[in-house]
Amino acid sequence: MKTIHYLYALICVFLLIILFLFFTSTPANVTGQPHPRFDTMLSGGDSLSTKSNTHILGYLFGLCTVLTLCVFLILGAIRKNSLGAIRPWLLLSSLVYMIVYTLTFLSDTHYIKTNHTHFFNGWPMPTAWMIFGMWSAPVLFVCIYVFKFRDWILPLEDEERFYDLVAERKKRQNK
Amino acid sequence: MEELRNPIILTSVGLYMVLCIAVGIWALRRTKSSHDFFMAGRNLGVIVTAFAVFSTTLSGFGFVGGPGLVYRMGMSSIWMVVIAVLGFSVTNFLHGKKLRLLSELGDSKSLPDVVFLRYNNNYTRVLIAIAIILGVFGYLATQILAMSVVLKDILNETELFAELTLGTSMIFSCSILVFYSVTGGIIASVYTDLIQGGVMIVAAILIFFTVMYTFDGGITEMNQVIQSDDPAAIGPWGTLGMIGCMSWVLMFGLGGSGQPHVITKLMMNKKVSDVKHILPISILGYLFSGLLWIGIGLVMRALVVSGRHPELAGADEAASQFLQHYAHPVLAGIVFAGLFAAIMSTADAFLNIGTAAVMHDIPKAIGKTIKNELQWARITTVIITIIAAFFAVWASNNGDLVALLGAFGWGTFAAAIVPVVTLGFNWRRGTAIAANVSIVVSLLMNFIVKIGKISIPYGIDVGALSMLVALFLFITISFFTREDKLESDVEEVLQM
Repeated sequence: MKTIHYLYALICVFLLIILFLFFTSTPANVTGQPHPRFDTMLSGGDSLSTKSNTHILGYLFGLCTVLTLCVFLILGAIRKNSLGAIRPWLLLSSLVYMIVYTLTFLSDTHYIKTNHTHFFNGWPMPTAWMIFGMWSAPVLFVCIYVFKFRDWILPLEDEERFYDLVAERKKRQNK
Repeated sequence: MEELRNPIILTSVGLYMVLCIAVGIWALRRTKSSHDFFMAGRNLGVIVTAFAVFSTTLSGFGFVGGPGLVYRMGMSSIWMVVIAVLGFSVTNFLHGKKLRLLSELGDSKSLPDVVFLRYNNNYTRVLIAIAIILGVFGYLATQILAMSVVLKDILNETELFAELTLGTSMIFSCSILVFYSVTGGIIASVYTDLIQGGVMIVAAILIFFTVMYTFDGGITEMNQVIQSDDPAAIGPWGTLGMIGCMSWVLMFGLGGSGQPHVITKLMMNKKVSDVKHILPISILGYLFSGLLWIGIGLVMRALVVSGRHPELAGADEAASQFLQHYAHPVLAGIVFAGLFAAIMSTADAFLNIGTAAVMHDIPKAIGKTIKNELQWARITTVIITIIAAFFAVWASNNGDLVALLGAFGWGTFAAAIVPVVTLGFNWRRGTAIAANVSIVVSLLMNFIVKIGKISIPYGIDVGALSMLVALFLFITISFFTREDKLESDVEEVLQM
């Protein structure tokens, strides 16, 4: 299977989940409710975590989001129909990102069950995972791009060939 | 010092506008052709391109709407900032090379030019140009409106301009915008972006430090105050909930690669290999500027729920109220200049791509060539600004129209452009007919859902849903249609 097939399958799963969500009974005020004291604010409604079916669907929806972003990124790294040596590094970085997302999700479930007591560096634990984990984990992709650009993204020979193509095209147009 | 607050704010904003005019005059001498006007002669350095990318992405929304959303919904909208590292990476992996190479190969002046080169189909070029024009009018009108409202509010605080109307404020602010956009085209735009980006970073860092010391117990106390009122607000999904937040992640992470005002900047850098430096610099710039978004929104929510500040009249007042009551007057001056910077950097980018679509792409698609393109580009820029300004005034008096404008924003660009450009430029099998169908369906879907006020469960973003449907159609139709015939050099570049 090629990367595009994985992407296609992922988009189909994504759309099926959304279709399913249309037909599930939505927990009350799941997207927030008016704040009891302040008109300009919203407060949280029933969490998805209170119902097992929406809990899993919510996780899968998020996982599909994360995977879609990673698969797109992998698609952008394909050269001459192949990923080559960049493949394991991109897969590893994607895996790290998925793990961090899963830990954020699990930490939030725990946060709701344990009356919200654990703080890390000024933030409740699941929010700390979001701020420090989800924010920083994709730095791995940035490092691959910055430090291995000439090896895996645009080798010098490709760039030289490109400028030959530009010169040939200009010559053709000037004829 | 307090009594000097308004003069300091006015001076800061005034100085910033003088700088923009100066850049416009300087860029005038460097703009000798329509290629310079639209593509900056494909001669931009690393820092200029990186700053242009992040400051164009942020817009006035990051300085006004963003803090307002955090105040209203808690952590939900912070995902739009958190996803920036992955989002910018996706954009660079997918566009940094192919889009830049194709634009140089075809000596392109606009995104629809490159789309034509890729698909060899004039309908695709026209449809992308139409999507850009629809988005430009919606986005530009809201930026002009925001710019005029902020300037009016600042000037109304002075005795001399206490009676200044919105219309006069709009004429004044648009004049500055038009001046540097007309004289220097994209060159003036990107160099003002450099100043604008710098102002935004400084303003955001200083604001974040102010936020940290607003409560004696720092960030921990601020978060505990919010948590004691509503634990969900300071949880990772805020009040919107998990699915809504993750749909924003998709919208801003992947949808960012479909924003024409941003990705055209990646067609202008001098050397292709510069993108490896542009990526980390633009990420850092965006992250620093995002501190303002997060900091002000949370601190205002904490101040209000703890009773230390009265409830705001509207969520969008979070930034201005914080600046007025808790920031040092000099800092308030810098941030107001930063706010104008954020709005103008996005508005000038839209003016440029809108002008290219009207004056270059559509005539080219119907086989017309305009003589003296540079002069006509300047005239078109003025006309687009005037129409957008009238549109903005009309929209501000008509709630439905505001919704209509909103429908053609970030989500519309994402749904129309991600399948055709982001995916299509990295997947040779994508066909022109699939591209055309996906653009039309995505535009219609955004429009119908927004105008028909169709409710999507769990707060799933309309743009994200339209983008997924458009991607599904693009891939499915491509599988079932015959591969387009492309020029051999284009084929080779697509394989690189």
